[in-house]
Amino acid sequence: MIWTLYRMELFKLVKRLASWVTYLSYGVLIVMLYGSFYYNALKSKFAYFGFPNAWQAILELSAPVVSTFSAVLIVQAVASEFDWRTSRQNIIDGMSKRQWFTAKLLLLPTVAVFFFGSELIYSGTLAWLGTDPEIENAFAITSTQLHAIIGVFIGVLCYSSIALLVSLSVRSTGPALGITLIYQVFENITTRTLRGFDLDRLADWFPFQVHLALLKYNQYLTAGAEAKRGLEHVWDTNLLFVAGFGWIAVFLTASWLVYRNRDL
Amino acid sequence: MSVIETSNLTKRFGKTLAVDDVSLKVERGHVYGILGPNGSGKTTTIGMIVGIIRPTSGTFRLFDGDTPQDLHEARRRIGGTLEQPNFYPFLTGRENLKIVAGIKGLGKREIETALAVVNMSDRAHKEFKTFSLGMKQRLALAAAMLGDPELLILDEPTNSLDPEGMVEIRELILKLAGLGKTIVLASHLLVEVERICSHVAIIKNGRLLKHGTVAEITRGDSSYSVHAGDLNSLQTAIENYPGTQHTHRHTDRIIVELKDNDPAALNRYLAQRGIYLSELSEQERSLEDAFMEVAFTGESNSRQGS
Repeated sequence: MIWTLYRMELFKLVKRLASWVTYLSYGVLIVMLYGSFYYNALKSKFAYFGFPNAWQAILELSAPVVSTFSAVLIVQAVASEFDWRTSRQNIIDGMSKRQWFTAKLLLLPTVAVFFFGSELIYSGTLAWLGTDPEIENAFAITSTQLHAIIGVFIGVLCYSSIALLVSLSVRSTGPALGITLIYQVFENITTRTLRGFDLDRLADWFPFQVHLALLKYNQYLTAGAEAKRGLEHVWDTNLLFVAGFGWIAVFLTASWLVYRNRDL
Repeated sequence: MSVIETSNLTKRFGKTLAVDDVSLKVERGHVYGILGPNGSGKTTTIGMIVGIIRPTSGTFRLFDGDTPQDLHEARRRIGGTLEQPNFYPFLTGRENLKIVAGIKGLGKREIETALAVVNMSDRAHKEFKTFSLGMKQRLALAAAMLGDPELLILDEPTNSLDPEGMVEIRELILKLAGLGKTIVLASHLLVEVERICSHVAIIKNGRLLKHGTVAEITRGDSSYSVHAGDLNSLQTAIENYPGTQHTHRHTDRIIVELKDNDPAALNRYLAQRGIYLSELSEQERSLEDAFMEVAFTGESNSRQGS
């Protein structure tokens, strides 16, 4: 049944024009961003867009874009089910609430993999084309890069799970989209206020701050370097992973409770 | 075997009591009309049965099962629509049925059969958002019929349709009823319910006011239509009869409401006075008359068995 539910969700996603408009908008941004890097590297002998240096640009620069567009697609896919009242019709047709929620849950990693994956393939291809063949082991993926990839993926899932909760609570695409995007601003203002009261340690663990921290490539570089030198600072990124997973668990649990306990 | 059995079903939205202590029973093969004005609680009652609204209190059984697992299994034997056809606007009619078939674990053959029944086979390749309201309603019926469910629950299936569309949908429902399906039909259209249903429940302000067969509901409690050669003498005699509650003269007959509901005694009384009746029949009301009487006198007959 899970496979059927998953196929149905993909079918709806692929058949919907709005999904393609969202993906194409994202694609245009990514093409422009990495295209300009590649072009500049071709034109200027001082610029270089190739492995291994390109990892930072590949993993950090577009990560907020991946994260935002994934959240937008999740809102489109989930909240619109309430606009069209197909959420209630699916249940009348014989789906259980648990199955309906599971189907939406499966969308989160799928959308994240789809957006992040296509960005990795495109930017990775350009970086591969621009790589200096004389650099030894240029294409080797180190544990630092693996950590960063996992971190971005968790970060994207974290924001998508916020989008899921907002969609299931608001039940209308327009307002849900607005709230999901405005949430960033709201949380930033809140955490800045907290930092003003020297409460940085508290502000750092707010969900969107954790999400942003997970997207920062430099910290994985630093952690990797420190690990190589035998320093013990490496736990910072692992703790971020735990915090990211923790927030995902909180938002998904809250999403389920909101969905399960409300009438359709 | 009862298909649906509710017991003291109640739903409260904040301070609003939407459904108040509703107990009803739908047996296999019934075409059961739930009749009531807009906002009377029909959709909420059905919503609880199909699992999209959680009852505040009370219980219900579907196909004699009442555990969450029983109810989930039972709902797979039900086809239904609520208020309006709810489909994905960007998918075609056939693709929408593919989604429903996926949920019900059915294949392409069932989709084509359902489309053929509602005469939509040649138009199902168009996007749902381009459909007329009549086509949307027919697609909703096709979706409800997918997999040949034992129970069909249709909420206002002719809502907003033009007269031609209403007739079309009504004939389709009659066709399904003829196949022996159990059908629950919620509507505020009295004519629709009277023509289609075998049983009726009248709901107003969330309360079940009366339920039973259509004949039971439309039967006058103690009113009779009488006719004789001399209507004037007949009227005078009836007005003098001690058991008369109320009389009303029509051009060709007199309607008399009796205190003791004993028409034989009235007949004897008139015969003793040399008035021989050419007609003495129970006064039948239309469902509309019955509904108006029940709804506006607030008659509570929830004790009456179905």
